[in-house]
Amino acid sequence: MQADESIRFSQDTGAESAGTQQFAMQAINITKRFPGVVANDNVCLNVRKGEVMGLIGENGAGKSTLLKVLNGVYPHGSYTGTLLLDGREIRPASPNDAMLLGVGYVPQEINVLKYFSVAENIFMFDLRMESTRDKPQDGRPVRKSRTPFANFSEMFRATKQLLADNRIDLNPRADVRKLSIGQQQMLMIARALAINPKVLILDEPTTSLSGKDVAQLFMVIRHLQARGVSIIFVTHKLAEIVELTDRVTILRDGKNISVYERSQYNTRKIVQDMIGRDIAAMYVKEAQTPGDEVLRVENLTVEHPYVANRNLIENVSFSVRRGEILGMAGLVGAGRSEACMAIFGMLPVKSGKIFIEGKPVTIRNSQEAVRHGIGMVSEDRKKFGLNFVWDIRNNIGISNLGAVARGPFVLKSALSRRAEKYFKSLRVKARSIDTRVATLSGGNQQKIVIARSLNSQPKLMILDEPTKGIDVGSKNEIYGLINEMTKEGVAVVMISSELPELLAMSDRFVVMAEGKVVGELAQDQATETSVMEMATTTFKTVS
Amino acid sequence: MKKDAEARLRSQSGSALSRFLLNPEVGVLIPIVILSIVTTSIKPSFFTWKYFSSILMGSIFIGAAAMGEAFAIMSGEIDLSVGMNGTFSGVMAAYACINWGFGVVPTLLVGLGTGALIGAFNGFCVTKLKLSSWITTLATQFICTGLAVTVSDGYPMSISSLGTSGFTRARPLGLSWLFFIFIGLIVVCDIIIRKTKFGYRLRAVGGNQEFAQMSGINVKRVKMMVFIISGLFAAVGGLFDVLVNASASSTFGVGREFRAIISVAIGGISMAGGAGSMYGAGLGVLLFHTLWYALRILKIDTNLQLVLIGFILLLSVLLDIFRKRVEARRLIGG
Repeated sequence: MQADESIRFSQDTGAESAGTQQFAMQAINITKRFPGVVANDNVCLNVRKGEVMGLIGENGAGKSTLLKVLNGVYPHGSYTGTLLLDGREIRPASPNDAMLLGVGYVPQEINVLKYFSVAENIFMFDLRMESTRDKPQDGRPVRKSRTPFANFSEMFRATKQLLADNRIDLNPRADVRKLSIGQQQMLMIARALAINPKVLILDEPTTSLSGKDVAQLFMVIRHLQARGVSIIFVTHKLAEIVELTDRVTILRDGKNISVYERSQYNTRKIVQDMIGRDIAAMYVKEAQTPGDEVLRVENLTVEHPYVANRNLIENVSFSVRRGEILGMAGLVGAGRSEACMAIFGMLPVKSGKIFIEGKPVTIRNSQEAVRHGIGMVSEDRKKFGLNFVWDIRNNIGISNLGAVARGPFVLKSALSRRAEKYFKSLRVKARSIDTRVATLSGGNQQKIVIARSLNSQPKLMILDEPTKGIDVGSKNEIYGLINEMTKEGVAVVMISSELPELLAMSDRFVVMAEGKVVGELAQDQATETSVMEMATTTFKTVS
Repeated sequence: MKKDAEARLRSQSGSALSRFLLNPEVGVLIPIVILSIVTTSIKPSFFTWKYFSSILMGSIFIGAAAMGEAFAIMSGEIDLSVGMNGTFSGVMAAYACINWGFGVVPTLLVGLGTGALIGAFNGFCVTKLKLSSWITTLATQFICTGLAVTVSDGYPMSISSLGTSGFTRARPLGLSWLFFIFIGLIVVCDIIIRKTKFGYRLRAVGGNQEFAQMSGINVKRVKMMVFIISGLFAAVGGLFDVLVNASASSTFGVGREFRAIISVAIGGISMAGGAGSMYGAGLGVLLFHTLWYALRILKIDTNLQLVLIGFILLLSVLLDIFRKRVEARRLIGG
């Protein structure tokens, strides 16, 4: 349609694409800075027409930042670099803008209107873009309505055609609530396709899908590819890269590391490129001789709270001893946090046994967990970690009021003394324990969260991403704190998505994938490669 | 918490006057004073002990319900049944007195027990059945209304046989015994909220429920306790009615829950939960009542009264928000 025009345009603007293969989308030297961090440092991404380009990298590698640049969440001007679509520079100011220009985006989280039909979900999206629908494209019907009323028959017809064209197996009239997660994911893709995108970005589309749904999704992607749509496919899973993509771009620490053609694929090399950073001496690890077993979990299974017949975690078993740090490795969403939440009584256990110091226990709520000597630092500091209404004193003291009370009365002086003790020993940088936690930096807030857990004097400490979102200096101090805990005989279960950190700190590893334990590794067996290979195991059955 | 804020403020620069004005309770006192001055300037007889004492004594009914409401709101929930629960509890007490010939103490216990039971039912629905407290307590409000009318058959039920009229008519220090009981209850509530383990836990739950859970607090148990306490205070309000009128009626506590909620809100208790002072709530009730009386004394048209009450309440809440913003700026800026 407008291809001739855009090629002419590209010859005017750039030397980049002239003479080379036709690129559907190019991101050239994208640099995006946040205060104190360069999230994308001269990143380039070139996607050919009709190609599936894999984008892979660890958490924090800069994938999401790049995607947000591509689809206009970060508007033009908030970063440096150039975006070319069909060789022509685009300057999207918003996601809607990017969409109109032809960049389709399917976010990682399922995001559908639950109380509407499939067609309404797609059409509602379309209403906002009616201005682009004035002239027919590809012989598609004009869906612009001139009345204030929705034209349902036309809407269902158009949806039916869209779904048929893209081989998506959905009923336009189906109630979205009754769709499976996989079908909802398909609906989101259909919605993105309704604008005829030139490039479709899929951000970890398989995270919540079962094996069969993944196969279905791949089929749809291949069909799109055959129709000339370019796809940017973001994933954590190596197997998917190998199966689906034509090329792969690897990012690490906000920089381009490498681009491989399909013929050059080598999983070992890809993993190395993903993780290969030098581990400096920032990890301080003092190994303790492990003592008696503190926690043992046998065949722990937790049901999905909303989806029937799905388990968040299945038959998870592991144990941890006094003075030992058990590292739980795996990708985000592998079920590590869920396993720990279940042990802490925050998620109901469907089946399985928990033993504390060899004795079987039932933990129905967090109060019982704390009574059994379990402390937990959750991944989400804002949601679970702090009471922002309160000052430091109460935030620390609340976990062990019994220690500072006489009868039902809390003795404020005793509470202050206790809070002061942790305030000092954890070297929290604040004026005093009267300071409100809302005014502290992330690292200091995290220290308060840890202090609160320590205050209940746990035998077992669960640390879920204890260094998430805090600066390097505070990270170092927190490693020191973890060492002090183990020195005092506390058993530690640590979850971290930063592999180097986990490898340096842990004595033993449990690797999880898709809600199951896929392996246990001793310290000398664990390397970034061996852990990553295990963690990217999928139980997918290709139909 | 309030004390800490004060301590911090004291350590910072600022005139004595501005420090005084930033005190949460003062935030409620100011509109009361302004209102009294305005009313007195129009109608000098307002500034007499006669009116003042009747405002004080008249505030105990909504006041008791507001104490229960304060517990509920501080824990992040709401109790819309504090009015009709009190009515039904009063009717039940009168029923026990008339039909079973109960004496003073058993009669009052029947009333309190009914309130606590209704509260426990609310608590059960919210914690075990995981229903929203808005819906649950709204439903209970209807249930209590229906039960109160059914039990009383729609007629006032006299409890003069108890012989409590001498007690309620007595005027120690120019006020009533019930008023002093009410003041005592405020003091107890304040101690519970600020000084006990339960009070800390309740504020933790109201401030951030997930945080409370991570701290090993049994959130469900705390909420159950809160609804029982709220039910008890609803019953106290209902029994105040019964004692003062020497009879129970299904029409007594109508609309009390919303007056209680408004009083608590203007008393500076955070509607989001987790923060507030019981004395503030008490002063909120006083403000509400002063306004009510002032408008009546000024002979303002009844319909216009409601309009004015609405606007003045909005104004006082706005004033409180403004005061808090200034306080926050000082805390962070200092």
